[in-house]
Parts: sequence; C-alpha cells; structure tokens
Amino acid sequence: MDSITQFLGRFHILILHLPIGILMLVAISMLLIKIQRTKFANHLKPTLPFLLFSGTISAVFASVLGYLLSLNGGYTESALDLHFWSAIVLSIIAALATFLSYKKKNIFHKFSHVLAVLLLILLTLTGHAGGNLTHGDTYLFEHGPDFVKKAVGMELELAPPKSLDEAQFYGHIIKPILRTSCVSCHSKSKREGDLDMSTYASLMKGGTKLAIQPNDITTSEIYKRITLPHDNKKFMPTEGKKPLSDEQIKLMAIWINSGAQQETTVTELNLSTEEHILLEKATHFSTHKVLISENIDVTPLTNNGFYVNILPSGYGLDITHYPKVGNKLNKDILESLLPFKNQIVWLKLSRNKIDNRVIPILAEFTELKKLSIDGTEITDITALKNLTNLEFLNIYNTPITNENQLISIKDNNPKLTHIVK
Amino acid sequence: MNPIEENYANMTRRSFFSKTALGIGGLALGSLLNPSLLNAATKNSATTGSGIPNNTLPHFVPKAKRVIHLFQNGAPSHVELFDYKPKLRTWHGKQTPSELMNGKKFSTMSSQNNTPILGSIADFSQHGKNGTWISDFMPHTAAIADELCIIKSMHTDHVNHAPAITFFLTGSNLPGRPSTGSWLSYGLGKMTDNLPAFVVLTSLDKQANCGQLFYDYYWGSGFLPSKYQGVKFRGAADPLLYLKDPNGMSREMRRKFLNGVEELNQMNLKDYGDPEIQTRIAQYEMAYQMQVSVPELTDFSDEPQHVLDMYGPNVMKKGSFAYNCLMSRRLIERGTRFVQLMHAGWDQHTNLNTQLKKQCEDTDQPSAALVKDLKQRGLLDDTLVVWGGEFGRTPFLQGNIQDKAHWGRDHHPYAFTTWMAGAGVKPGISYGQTDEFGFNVVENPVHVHDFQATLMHLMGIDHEKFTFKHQGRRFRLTDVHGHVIKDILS
Ligand code: HEC
Repeated sequence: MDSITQFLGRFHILILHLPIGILMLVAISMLLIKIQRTKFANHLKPTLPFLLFSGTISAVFASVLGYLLSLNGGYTESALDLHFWSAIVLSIIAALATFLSYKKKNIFHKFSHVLAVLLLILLTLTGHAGGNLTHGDTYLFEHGPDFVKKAVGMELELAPPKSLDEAQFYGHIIKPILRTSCVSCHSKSKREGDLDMSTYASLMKGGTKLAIQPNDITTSEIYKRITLPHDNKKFMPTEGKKPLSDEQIKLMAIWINSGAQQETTVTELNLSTEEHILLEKATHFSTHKVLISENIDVTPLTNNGFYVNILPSGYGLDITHYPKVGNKLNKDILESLLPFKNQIVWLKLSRNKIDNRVIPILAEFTELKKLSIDGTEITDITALKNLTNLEFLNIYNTPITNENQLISIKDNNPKLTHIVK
Repeated sequence: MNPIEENYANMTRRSFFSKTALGIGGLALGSLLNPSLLNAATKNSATTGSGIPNNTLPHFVPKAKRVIHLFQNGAPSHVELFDYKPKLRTWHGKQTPSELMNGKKFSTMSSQNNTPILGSIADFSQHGKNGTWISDFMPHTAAIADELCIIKSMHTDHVNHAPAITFFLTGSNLPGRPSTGSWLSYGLGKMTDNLPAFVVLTSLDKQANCGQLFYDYYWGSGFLPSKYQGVKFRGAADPLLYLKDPNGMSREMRRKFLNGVEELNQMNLKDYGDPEIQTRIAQYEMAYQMQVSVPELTDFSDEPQHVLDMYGPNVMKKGSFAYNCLMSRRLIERGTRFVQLMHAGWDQHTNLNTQLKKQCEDTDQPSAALVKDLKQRGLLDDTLVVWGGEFGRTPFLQGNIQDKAHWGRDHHPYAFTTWMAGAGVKPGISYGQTDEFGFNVVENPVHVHDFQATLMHLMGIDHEKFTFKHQGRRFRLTDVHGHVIKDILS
C-alpha cells in the first residue's frame, strides 16, 4: 500500500503542470474576451467551458496525487499547509467557474474577469508554494539581482572581501560555517528546534531558546550545542554530520564574545595576532592586495618563451624562463615583461645567460616578492634596492662577491628575509 | 586496409543515419549542459600545452611548484630507521602481545602463531635541534634532521607490494587510476616544452635480488589522456632510445618531416577527435625537442666536483640511486614538475642483517645530498622532496630467532614512516606516534589519502575539487577520503 501511494504520489510532479497550463490559458482567454470584444475574442468564447472543465479535472487529479505524495512525509508541515489549502481553493474556484460557464452563462460572463484574476492569483500562490517545497524557499531568488533579493527580504550575498581585514565577521566567516554545517536542518522551511539560521535576523531571534547571547558564550545555546561531547544527544550537528572543527568553534567564540554584530569587520574587532593567524588559516581570504584580474591575457609572454603561472585570487603572476639550447634570453625579450611589471610577483631567471645589462629592467618590477637570478652572470645588483616588496632573493652561483651590495639592499628592504647566495 | 577507408566502407545507409542523428542529438545535449559543471578541470585540460596557464588551477597560491618523490620500493623497516622503539630490544624473543596481533591481516609469508618481537638491529642516536632519533644506518640523513618533517604515523590499507604501491601512487590498489604525477601535469600543465612534465627514474639494489618489478601503471595516466603519463628514463646507457637522428637525416629535414606528419595527424584528429591523436602529436614534438635537451640534461660534466662528491661514489654510475638523485635535481632545474624516483630492494623478509645496511649505504647519502643541494641553490624553497615506501615492516620476526643470518621482517601496513622536506612543510619536526612496539599508530594518524591530500594542497590544489569525469563518475586522487594535515604545514 505504502509503495503504491508513493508510486502514484510521485506522478504529482508530472500532472501538476496540466492544471497550471490549462487554467492559465483559460484565465488569459477570459481576460482577453473581457478587454477586447473583438472577433478574435468571439472565437475564444466557445472554448471556455471545455477548457475550464479539463482544467478542473486535472487540478483535482493533481491535488489527489499531491495528497498521496505528502503522506510519505519529508516536508515540513507549515510549508506544506499553504500549498495544500491554496490547491484546494484553486480546485473549488475552477469547479465553480466550470459550473457557471455551462449552466449560468450570464453570471459567468459578467464576473469572468473576477474569476480569471482569482484563478491567476491562486495558480501563482499554489505553484510558488509547491516550488518552495521541493527547491527550498531561496531557490527562486538565489541568483537574483540585489534589489530583487532586498524586496523579498533575503539577506544579500556579500562580495568576497578584498582582504581579510575588510571581511565582515558574520557575513564572510560565520555565515558560511552555519550554511555548510547547520542550515540543512535549520532553515526557514525546516526549522528544527524552531531555529532558523539562514539569516542574521532569524539566527538572533533564536529557537525555543536564545541561540546567540551576544558577549556570552556560556548562555548561547549554539555554542553549548557545538561544544558538547560528540556522543551527547544534544550535540550539534546531529545525525553524525561532520562536527565543526576546533578552528571554526574558536571563530564562533570570538564572534559571540565580541558582540555578535552583523556588520563589524575583522579590523574593527582588534583581534590578537593569534586570533588573526587563526582567521587566516580558517578562511581562504587573502591578506594580500589584488594585482591581476582573472582574465589577464598573457600570450605575449608565453610566445616569448616564458612559463607563466597565474596565481589565484589576484595574487599576481609567477614567471619563469628556463634556459634552452638555441633560445637565449636577452634584454629585448626581458623587456616584453615590462607591461606586466605591476603584476609579476615571482620571477625566476635562473641559469640564463644574462648580465648586468638586465638589472635596470629588473629594478622596475617593484611588486616582486621572489627573484631568482642564480647561475647568471650578473655582478652588480645594487639597483635592486628599489624592490621594496622583495622577500626572497636567490643569487647562488653568480659572480656577486661584494657583501656591501647585499647589505645595502637588505637595509632598504625590510621584508627581504631569505637570501640564497 | 587503411582504417579510414575501412571506416567509410563499413558505413551503410542505416548506420550513417543513425550515427548522424545520434551525433547531432548528442552535440545539442552537450551544448545544453554546462560543461564546467561536468568537470572541474575542463578549462585547463588539453590546451595547457606550452604552459599557457588556465584560470581554474591552482586553487590557491602554491607553496610547492615541483615534487621529487624518492619512492622506496619494497617497504623500508620503520623500526630500524626512523621510529625508535627501545622496548623492542627489551622484549626481544618474547611473543608479540596477542592484543596487538588479533584481527590483523598480514602477508601470510610469516607464521601467525610464532611471532617473537625482534629488537631493532640498528642503533639510534639523537640529531638536530629537536633531538630527533634517527638510525645510525643513515648518518647522512641524520645530519639533515633539521630539514626534515618526519611523519611516523603513516598507515595504509594494503599488505602486499604492488597493491600498496599502486595505492600510494594512484590512490587505488587496482591498476588503472592516474598517478599523482599525471594528475599534477594534467591539472597544472607543463612548465617547459623541451622536457616532460613528469619523469620516472628507476634503480635497483646492488644485488638486484629483491624480485620487485616496476609496473608501468605506477606512473600511468589511467583515464587521463596518455600524454600525462610519466616518461621513464632508462637506467643504463642512453636514458631514451632513438634520440639521435639516423645518418643523413638533418635537423631541418626532421623538422619538415614532423611538420608533415603533424598535418596528417591534425586531419585525422578532425575526423575522429580521439585525444590520443593529440597525444601522438605532442609526443612527436616533445621527442624533437628532447633530441637537443636530453643530451644537455644528461651531461654531468658541468657539475663541479664538490657537488658530485656530495652525492657519493656512485653518482656517475648510470642507473644508480645517486645518479638518479642528481638527475632529478637537473630535471627540476630545467622545468620538469614531478620526478618519481623509484628504488627497489627494501623487502627484507630473510636478509635484514645483511641487506638493510647495504640498502642504506646506497640511498642515505644521495637522498641527503639532494636535499642539501636543493637548499644551497634556493630550490628547496619551492620544491617538495618526499622519501618513503608503501608500508612498514613488522616489529616481530619473520624467520627463526636462532638463525640470525636470515632474520627478517614481514609487511606491516599498520604503521610506517615517511619524511618530507622543503616547500611548505615545517622543517625539523616529527609528526604522529606509534605505540611502544611501533606496531599501531596511537597519535595523529596519517592515512595514505591524507598524505596525498596534503601533497595536492602544497601544490595549490584542493583535492576535493580536482576531479576528472570518467565512465559517469567524477574521480579524484583521494577517492572520497583524505584530510590535509594542517599541522605540518609551515
Ligand atoms: C541533521 C539535522 C541537524 C543539523 C545538521 C543541525 N541540527 Fe541543530 N537541531 C536539530 C534538531 C532535530 C533539533 C531539535 C532537537 C534538539 O533540541 O536537540 C536541533 C536543535 C538545535 C538547537 C536548539 C534550538 C532550540 O532553541 O531549541 C540549536 C541551538 C542547534 N540545533 C544548533 C545547531 C547548530 C549550531 C548546527 C550546526 C553546527 C546544527 N544545529 C545542525 C537537527 C540538526
């Protein structure tokens, strides 16, 4: 029996499109007739009773199947109710319209616009409620433009922060954690413990208990639940879902203890270095400035024999020239890098036959963090003291012997901590 | 018959219509579905050719740009080399506690009823700033203790060599999955046109008595296009065969000839769209480049004597581990991304007392020299070196305790040691612990999939996102497992 209801119930998803299509068509026809009174409208008139009849039958049929489907559970009561009742009202109105169109033509034509509008409203309502049931209530507008989302009261998605310091603690750090680990059971439509964590407002509203008590982790129900022993019945997430990591738990604590505000940024919290490191580890947000766009065209460089690696999140370009027999790196080829001088962060020219003539060019790459000129014939690198972002410099196996050069570069470049010579 | 003609001849009216109908339908369907949903790495697959970068990989800024994997085929004994267990000596000859043995699976080559503990035949001493215990069999490795991140809590699922090696290198015990090196060259492309992105070098122990084979699928590309498989250099004489042009063939003529062949292949590719034709085109081109690059690569005469000396007495002997270590440094300097160096001879079932020491003598100095050499050149900064085998060896004896000459240890998947050095891993640390017998992992276990996930992470790749769709399923190196070992990342 169960499997028969289940089998039939699933046909709901198929059949439901019939009443939507048919009734939509009748409703529009009824309105057209009302507005136009043209010849065309006159052609439509005789079709109405039959169309209304078919629409009603299919609506009833879809409702019965829908009821069977709902028997198998898996849907939250509150979300189901709206769909259920609006479908029933829709069927009744459709039946009434059918009856009038056959038996009381006068009344029907007098009120056809009212009926049509009613049908359209009910169709939309039923359809939307049904869609929300299967896809969740954020499905439709998830990718909508901001003004649409605002209009329907959805929380706006934040653009990824330019750097960790600009990240909003709730929007960029806490919300993604809740979304991956908790919202599957604590959403608007599936509110276990009456708790909906899908937006800031609903999270702060709490469930049967207060979920978040700003500045106090001990009375925040959420914090209690995620720090219980894993085998405790009240531990969250339940059902053996992956627990939050130690880092994520610490982040929750930092956020709650700092007031659990929605829009405070990481800088505004004045975190300790330790907490900052934790944040860097637990998030993928870059702590660097963005140097490149994802669509940068580097073919001029690859055509010149450079290996180009576009580092992710705008970090910059990583460029290497491997020495090849019969393909020498010279000043001209190196100059082809200049248009990219504000993007290149790692540059490796190891073992190429280049000498001091390239140094003025290299000195222009002020964003460089790593530079390898080992195995070249360069003897004088004094001009490289312009490269104030340099962290790594490799001059192994070069004729550079003058220690003073290195000392002056180091004095100028406080970030330069790693020199290979 | 020419296969193209054959193809035409076999095409009847019916097959023509059914093919075209299906084909057009398929094309339409294919364009409807968003290809990026199907495959995380489509964007950067075949076209990466000359190192033209892609915008999906790496996922994050990589710590390591290259890997040298010194794979110790046959399974080095962790309790003789890195996992110091004095208790083994005090328990020498006593039966292994049954609670350790119960429910465990071994290779069946040793008796399950008589398993006396075998004290470590090697002495240990402390090295480096953190006083790391390392075997006296490995003095050179001990001397670089401050560079090493020693993972003592490795464990695996497989108890015999080929499955366990395949598991370590490809993520599955059954042959046919892409090896780590293939995944990386597929995902990240190659850095140079004149050498393969993924090279394999093999060497055997001196007596070559270990009976271990190197199967091609240890570096195979599985379901990835075969141009991503490892290119194996031969151990003896010429590393690659037929690199020289025959008499009378000039380099220009070779070029013209290859251009002609490529045109033909391109036509075929258009007709059939078989990615293996692309592989063929790429390989002809690579071979042409390697005619020039390989002689230069293998000419060690530009290495100063003090560097050669670091690698020890066998460095000039082709096919030795030392030669291969120096070769791997030269390869990565020239743009190879992944070198998989495989050395056999660690499988001491019956000759622990004689063979282990020799094995260490062959490998200890070159491995350490490689790390030091990379470091002095500034290459260790973005090159990851990995040393280890497919599993460990039993803390108990295989053989007869009276017959010291034939003492041995059996395969042991429950605990073993692997070390890493270089890019992105913390230097000078030990991670994880085994129990007092070196039998089971008791702290911070690192499964083979965890290791693979970590290696991918260091190369800037999220192992969960890097997939290839094959036979209706998205595959990844770590299957559905693996956690990055964050604690060892620097
Ligand atoms: C698999 C489903 C599931 C997941 C995932 C889940 N929960 Fe719950 N949660 C429940 C259920 C069921 C209840 C009601 C029973 C109870 O109170 O233990 C509940 C109740 C709660 C409550 C108490 C609400 C109240 O006021 O009574 C809190 C707080 C909570 N969960 C937090 C979380 C957090 C935080 C996460 C994510 C880390 C999470 N849950 C993930 C199923 C889940």
